[in-house]
Amino acid sequence: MAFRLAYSLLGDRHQSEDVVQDVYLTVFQSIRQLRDLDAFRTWFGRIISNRCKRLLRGRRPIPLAEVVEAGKDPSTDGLEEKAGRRLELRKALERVTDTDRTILTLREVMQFSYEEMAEVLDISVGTVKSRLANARRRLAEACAERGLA
Amino acid sequence: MSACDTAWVAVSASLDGAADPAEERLAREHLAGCEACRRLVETARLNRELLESSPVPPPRDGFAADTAELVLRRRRVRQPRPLLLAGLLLLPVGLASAASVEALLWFYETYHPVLSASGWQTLSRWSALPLPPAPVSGWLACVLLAGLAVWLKGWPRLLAAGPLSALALVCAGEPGPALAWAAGTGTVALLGWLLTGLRQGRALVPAALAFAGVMAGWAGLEAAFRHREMVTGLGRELFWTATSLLPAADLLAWVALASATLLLLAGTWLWRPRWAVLPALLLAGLCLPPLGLLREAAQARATVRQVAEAFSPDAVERTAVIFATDSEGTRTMPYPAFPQLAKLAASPELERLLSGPVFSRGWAHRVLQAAAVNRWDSGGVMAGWTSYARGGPPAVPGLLHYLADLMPVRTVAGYGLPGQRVPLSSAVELVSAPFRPWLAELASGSQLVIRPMKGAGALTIEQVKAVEGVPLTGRLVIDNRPVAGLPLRLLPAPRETSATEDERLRYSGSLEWQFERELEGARAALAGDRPLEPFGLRTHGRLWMLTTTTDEEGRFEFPAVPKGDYLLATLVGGRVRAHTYPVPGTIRVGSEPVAVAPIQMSVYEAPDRPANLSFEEGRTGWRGDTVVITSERPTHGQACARLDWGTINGQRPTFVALVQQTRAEGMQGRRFRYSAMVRTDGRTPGALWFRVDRPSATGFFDNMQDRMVNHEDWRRVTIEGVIDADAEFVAFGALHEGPGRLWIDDVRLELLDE
Repeated sequence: MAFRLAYSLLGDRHQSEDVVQDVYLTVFQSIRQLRDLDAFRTWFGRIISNRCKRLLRGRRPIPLAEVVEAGKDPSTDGLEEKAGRRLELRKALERVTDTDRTILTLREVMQFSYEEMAEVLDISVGTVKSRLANARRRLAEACAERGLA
Repeated sequence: MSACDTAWVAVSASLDGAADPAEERLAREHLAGCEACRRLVETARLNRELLESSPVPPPRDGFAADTAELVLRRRRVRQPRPLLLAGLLLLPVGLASAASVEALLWFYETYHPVLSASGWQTLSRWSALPLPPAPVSGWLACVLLAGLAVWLKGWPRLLAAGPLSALALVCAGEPGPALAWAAGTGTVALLGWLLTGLRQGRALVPAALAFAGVMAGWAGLEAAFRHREMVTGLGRELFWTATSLLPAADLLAWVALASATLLLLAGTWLWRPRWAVLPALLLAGLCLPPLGLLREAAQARATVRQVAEAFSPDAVERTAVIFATDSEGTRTMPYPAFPQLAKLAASPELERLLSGPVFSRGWAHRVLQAAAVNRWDSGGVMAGWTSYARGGPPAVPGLLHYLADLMPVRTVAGYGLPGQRVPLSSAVELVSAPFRPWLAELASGSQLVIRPMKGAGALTIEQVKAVEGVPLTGRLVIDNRPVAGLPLRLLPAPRETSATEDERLRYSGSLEWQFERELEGARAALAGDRPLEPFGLRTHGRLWMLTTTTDEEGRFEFPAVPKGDYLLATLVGGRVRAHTYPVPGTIRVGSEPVAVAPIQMSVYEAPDRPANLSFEEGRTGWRGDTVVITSERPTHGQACARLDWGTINGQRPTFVALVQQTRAEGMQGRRFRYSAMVRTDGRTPGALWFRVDRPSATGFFDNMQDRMVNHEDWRRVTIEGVIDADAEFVAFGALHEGPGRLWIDDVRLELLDE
């Protein structure tokens, strides 16, 4: 989960590995701060997303080669059309803000519930709803610009 | 915002099945009529599908193992951090506290003359405020502290801990440590809050800082007083307060305070096992002050014992100069300071104080209050103190402060350089070091001025010329009025370390010579039919240096003083009965006598037998400052005696007395009945009194203090008892307290059957 989330947010394997190691250290040192074990998933997710956000702030843009390489990953289903579309979607994701990309990743990639997203992002469920809706719209617009229907 | 924008939020939520019924309905209705949003939904679904299934490359080989090792290694390194942190915190805080204590002491020392007179004495009086008993108020403050701790959260409770702890200590009657506590806790808590308190989870750090600061500050205080020679009165006062911090009751308050604060910490932050080591350390630290105090208390007890011994009559030689006057500072009758201090030394309260579990200032107060209640409060108290050989007990000024607080001291002997005015607060610091210049000046022939300062209470000696080996003359000036000649004799300091027997005899001979002169004066007075006021400086005034005093009747007798130390002179039927002994009053530097002063003496023509008992012969045989022989309604004969309140030397006495003293020959061992007809004017009570004088002590004594009479008609009042077998004299009369009058007539002294 940690690596998947980090990779989805960062799009960079090495950086994602660094982030995951760092986060594990933090988690082991700060586990006393976790009062409710049931909240581990969101707590963990928050640490990762915060760490990635800090990284993204100082890094622009995502190296295209990496993205392309990832898009051609042999573990995909092999459908050329889908792969191309996924690549375009990746590029469209680059166009949206970090905030939009984070909430989209949490929902669409990591399948977090609205409540969990609210916990991770430290915002209300209502804000999650509106922020996610806007992110989806902007991603769709970015896709439309790239010719994706 | 368009309708699409508003509805899209509902549509988006509906896509994830997270819409509430109203949003669901809105989404359905909007999608039915909006082609653009339907297309948007399709795109969003497609994107979700793609993102959901987007591949994630696996991390490199061995990533998981590396991560695990990294975490474990880091944990091993970071494990001892709390202890390290605590140690690192304790060190600078302790040093800072000790430094601040040093600075405080320096400040007190430097500005002591400014502060000591008012500031510290005022502070000391706080402890005398009518607060609830120390344990009660201490507990109340602890409860308040705990309550506030529950109510407050985070760093405010730390800030509250300082003042509240201080309040607890103030309630326990200890303002000094309370200040230290408040300053230490408050400052460190504030510092801790500023440094770390704003960051969540670090609230323990200021708590530890606060406690460590207090403990280290206390340790610094102890260390400072142990290693520094504090020469100022304030320093000693601090020492006195610090060493007498805890009576047993206050110990409970202290423990309660510590427990409450510790619980406060434990209940909030210290539940984490790793931090348990810190409260354990703090607990150990909290145990240190009481232990240290017990040790200091033992020292303080020893000090008080020294004081008591030094003031006891046996130790009279060690006390160099003691002046005493009454509370007005003008009465010249010597004040019986030494018998009173002897009482203090022999007081069972003092014994309890010395043998109690913990010595404290509160105990000292109780002892001295008992002293005040026991009529030790009728006059001024000494201030001269020196104990060269021993250097002086460190806490003497503190004790004298309390004496001065409790007794109406107006006049205290001064010391110092010529012309220097010595306030009361400084006079009590009369220890060897400042006293030496005085002696040096005296010995070198300089002038010294001792002058009473109204209100401030100080004496100065005026015009004392000291020439080695030559008798000196000088005057004692009180209220700008010379009250006595001052024959001072400065003797060459002997080479030996102590006075030889020859020197003792010389002193004795000098006194006998003086006595003969006094006797001549007395005889001349009697021959000239002048009224003889035989007692004290009023008539035969002499500056009595050293320790000559009289009892309440003005006689030289000291029940508590070993026989042979004092001069008793009585003129009985034209014969002088006198006992002279080596004079104890010698100013010594170390063990070297420097000067000797004549002892005060009285001459009284006492009848051989009780005489003139119905006052038909006037005052013959009787004495008394305010006695008037009158013919107002006598019960027997033509005259009776009246005691007016009046004034003596311009002063209002606390009581007036009628006295007759006779030899006790033929009365020894006999049972007697002493009675007289007595009446008063109904305003204030009076009584008869009877005393038996043995060679060196008082025998039977009764002054009817428990059964004084106050009636306007004549009634016979009686005292019965047994005259001691070794009685030398008997003395009897009447006394009267207050502004009323008392009449007495038909006095009878009957010896009853064997």
